[in-house]
Formats: sequence, C-alpha cells, structure tokens
Amino acid sequence: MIQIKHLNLYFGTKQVLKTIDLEIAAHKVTALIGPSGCGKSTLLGTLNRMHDLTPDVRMEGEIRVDQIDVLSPQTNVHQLRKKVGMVFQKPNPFPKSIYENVAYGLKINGVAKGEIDEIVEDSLRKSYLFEEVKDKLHEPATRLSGGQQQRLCIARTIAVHPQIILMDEPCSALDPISTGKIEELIGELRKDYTIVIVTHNMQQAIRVSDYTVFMYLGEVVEFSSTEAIFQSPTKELTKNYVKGHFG
Amino acid sequence: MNKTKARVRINKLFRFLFQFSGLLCISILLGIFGMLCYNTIAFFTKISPIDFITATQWAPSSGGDTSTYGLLPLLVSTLLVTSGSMVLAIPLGIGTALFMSEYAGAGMKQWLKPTIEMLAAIPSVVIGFVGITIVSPLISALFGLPNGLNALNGSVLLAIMALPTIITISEDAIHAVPQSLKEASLGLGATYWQTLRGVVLPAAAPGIIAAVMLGMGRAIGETMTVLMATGNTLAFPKGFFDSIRTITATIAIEMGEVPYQTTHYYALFAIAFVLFIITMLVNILAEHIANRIRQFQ
Repeated sequence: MIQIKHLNLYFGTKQVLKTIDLEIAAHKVTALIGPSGCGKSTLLGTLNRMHDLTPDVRMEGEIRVDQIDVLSPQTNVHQLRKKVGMVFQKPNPFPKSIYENVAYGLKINGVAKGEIDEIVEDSLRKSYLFEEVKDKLHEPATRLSGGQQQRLCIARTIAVHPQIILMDEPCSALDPISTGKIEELIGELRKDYTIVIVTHNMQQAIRVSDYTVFMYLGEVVEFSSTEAIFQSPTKELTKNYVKGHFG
Repeated sequence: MNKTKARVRINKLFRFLFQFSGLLCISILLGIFGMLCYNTIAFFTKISPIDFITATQWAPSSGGDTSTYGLLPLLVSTLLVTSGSMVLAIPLGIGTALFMSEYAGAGMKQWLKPTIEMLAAIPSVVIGFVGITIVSPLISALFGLPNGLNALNGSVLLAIMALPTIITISEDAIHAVPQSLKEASLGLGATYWQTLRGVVLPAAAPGIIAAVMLGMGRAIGETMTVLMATGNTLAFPKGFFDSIRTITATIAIEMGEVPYQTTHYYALFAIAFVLFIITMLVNILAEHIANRIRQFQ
C-alpha cells in the first residue's frame, strides 16, 4: 500500500529522517513507536505531504501510495490528501456544528447536496458517535467532550472515503475511557482502511497494531510484526526500549 | 507596626483612587447622555417628531415660522457616505488583512503592518485636504462632473480613514486562528483558498466584525473630513455624485453660530441624538452577530 524508499528529510540543515525504507501493508494497523524526537510524527507527515506547510523542508527519496508518487511536485496534493486522511494529536474540530464538521470535507470535494446527509450519518455511525450526538447535530462541536471531539475528527476523516488513515498520537490528550473507545474504533476501522498510527504508549501499540516500526534518532531500527517487536526483538536497542530501559 | 499601618493606608488609598476613576468615567458618560436627552426632549416640545422625521428640508436659518428641521437630508447624507465607505473599505480591508496574515512573508509583514498603522495617525484635517486637492479633482475628471466635492469623495476618504482599523484588527483575528484548524482542513484535501473561506474566515469572524464595527464607528462619527470634502449642500442627496452635508458636519458648522437655547440650538442636539442611536444600534447588532458565531468556538 505504502512504499518508502531511501527517504531523507531535512529541516534546514538538520537531518531528521535518515534513509528510511518501509513497506506498509494494506488493511493493517502499523504503529510507529520510539522516544520523543525520533522522527515518527515527521515520517507520518510525509505520507500526506503535511510538511508542505513548513518552510525550509527538503526531502530526498521516494514515497509511493497506491502508485501515486507522493513527493513529486506534479502530484495533486489535494487528491492525495483525500486518499490519505489524517487525525491529529489534539482534537481539532472546526468551530462549526457537529454536522458541518463532517459535511465540510464533502462540500469541498464537491459531493452532491442530496448525498451529504446520508454520508454524515454513516460516518458518525462508523465512528461510534452517532447515538451520542443524533439529537444535537446542529450544536457546536466544541461542546462535545475531548474523546467525542476526537471521534468526530475521525468521522470527518472517513467521510471523504480515504484509503489510508494517519493518526498522530490520537489519544495523547484523552482520558483512559475515551482512549479505550478510540482503540476499539481503530480495531473496527482496520477492516476498511489502512491505518498508520504514531503512539507514545507502547501498551497501545500492542493493543491496536499488527505491525510495529521502532524508530530512533531518525532511523528505522526495527520493523516487524507487533508480536515480534515486543516478544522477541532482534536488536538490542529495540529490546531496551520496549522493556522500558530508556525513552 | 507603623509600616503595617502605612501599608494598609496606601492600600485603601489606591482602592479609593481606582473606585473614583471608574465612577468618574461612568458619570461623565451618563452626564453626556443626560444632556443629549434633555436637549432632545426640549426640541420635541417645539417641533413634532413626525415633522422632524418626515420633512425633507433642513432650513433652520430662514427665521421665524418658516424654518423647517427635516432630519432626512442629513441622515441620508450620513448613511450615504458611511455605506459607500464601507463598501470600499470592508473588502479592501479584509483582503489586505488576509494577504498580510496568510500570503505575505514575515519580512514583508514586518514593515507593512506598522506602515498601515501609521495611516491611522494622519489627522482628519489632512485627509480632508487630500480630498479637496487630489481625490475630488480625480473624481470630477473620471466621471466628467463639474464638481468632485460629493458623497463619493467623502466615501473614498472615510474608507481610507477606516482602513487601518479594519486591517489591523482583522489581521489580528485571522492570525489568531489556530494552525491546527488549517491543518485539519488541508488534511481533508481542501485547497488553501477553500481553507481560508471555509475555516479561517468563519473562525476569525467575531474579530473581523469587531474590526468593521470600529471602522464604521469612525466613519459615521468623522466630522472634519466630510465637512471639508463633500461640498456642504443641504439639498436632498440623490446619489453618490451629489454634494451633501452629514449630521456631524451640520452640527460642527452651525453650533458655533446658533443662539443659546433656541429651537435651532435644540435641533442640533436632536440630530446628535440620532447619530448616537445609529452608532448604538450598529454596536448592538455587531455584538449580537459576533456572539452567535462565538457559540461555535
């Protein structure tokens, strides 16, 4: 689904990602773990070209998402981002109603008016949010709890029918109960989507992911099935990290 | 011991000082409002409110029973220049604010913003002067008019005066929209323009409304510029190419010569009261709209 070949990324003169080679499988959950500053969020941001917003970024290498050459300047970045949705660290609903939050992506992508209601409801159902909000669809999204806001952000993302969902520490601002709901939701979403999730929480990686990438100082140290990474890591560094000796 | 007493006393003194300044402000405000009301009521004991509102002529100096005090020509003049100035200043101001906040680089913004703020420091007399010597000849040449001192001229000048306020405050509001909202929109595949229109501008709307309101307040209340540059004509204005005289200019011109406590004297307070009501309504309306939008934030 996603192929990354010899990816280097620099912020100014500082190299943040060093020759990354990865193959991410379709319809699986892949977790990116590693200590702060290891480049896992940066790597995630390359997949939907979020770094276009940051000045002074330079990238080398190749990323292919479903045959799209992600880094090529000719690539239509709006098409790409429709295909590769993103859920952010802090819930960031728009200052609009719950309904409008989900409908927004549909409107900008020119979905016919008549279809919007149905897709909004469907997306909210798939995010386990519909029952909680069905009577207040036109109330401000900011009145929802943090966990509900994050599920709304997931609903907003899946409304535009992406193939891949990138999640950048989606539970780090949430309480354990909300986190549990999001994790349950991830388990459900893996049937229809390819998910790449950055997480600080190793237990979370074990709970939700099929594959795990362990990164350190901008490099991929080890990439294997989640079970292998946590039960029988081949590298000493990985073992020390997953056992909690550093990081 | 003594020191503690002194501290307590100083504490009390400052509390009293702050209380005093607060009360002083409120009483000055109420005093002005009371004076306006008192004189306006005095006017309506002499002229009926219906005549005041419906008469189409402002002719106080014709003396005795023949004088009429029609609000309409002055009110229409004021509304004409103000609305004209807003039609020019709102899109220009918000556009400039968007450019500064979203498109101009940090270096350009660094000198652009102070420059625009400097524009607010130009005295209104100077703007009036510019209106007479530059803008009005331009308007008369452009539209083939014998006289460029008209409502359009006033609108252009008032727009220039309202722009710095609208631009700076809108820019602050647009700049304050969290980056995370832009990322969310772009992450859904929106273009930058779709993001600005669909997320950034709505999120900044309360601030932009406040900016427009303050700009409009300046335009409605502005006196010197419109007095100098709009031709001073009491005839009922038919459009932007007519010379006009606004409420503010009328008060400024006539107040100096009017005999104390005559009907004419009271009439000037009555039109000032109308001006006050307009400004207040604009404020209330803007506050109401901003509050409705703020609910969602």
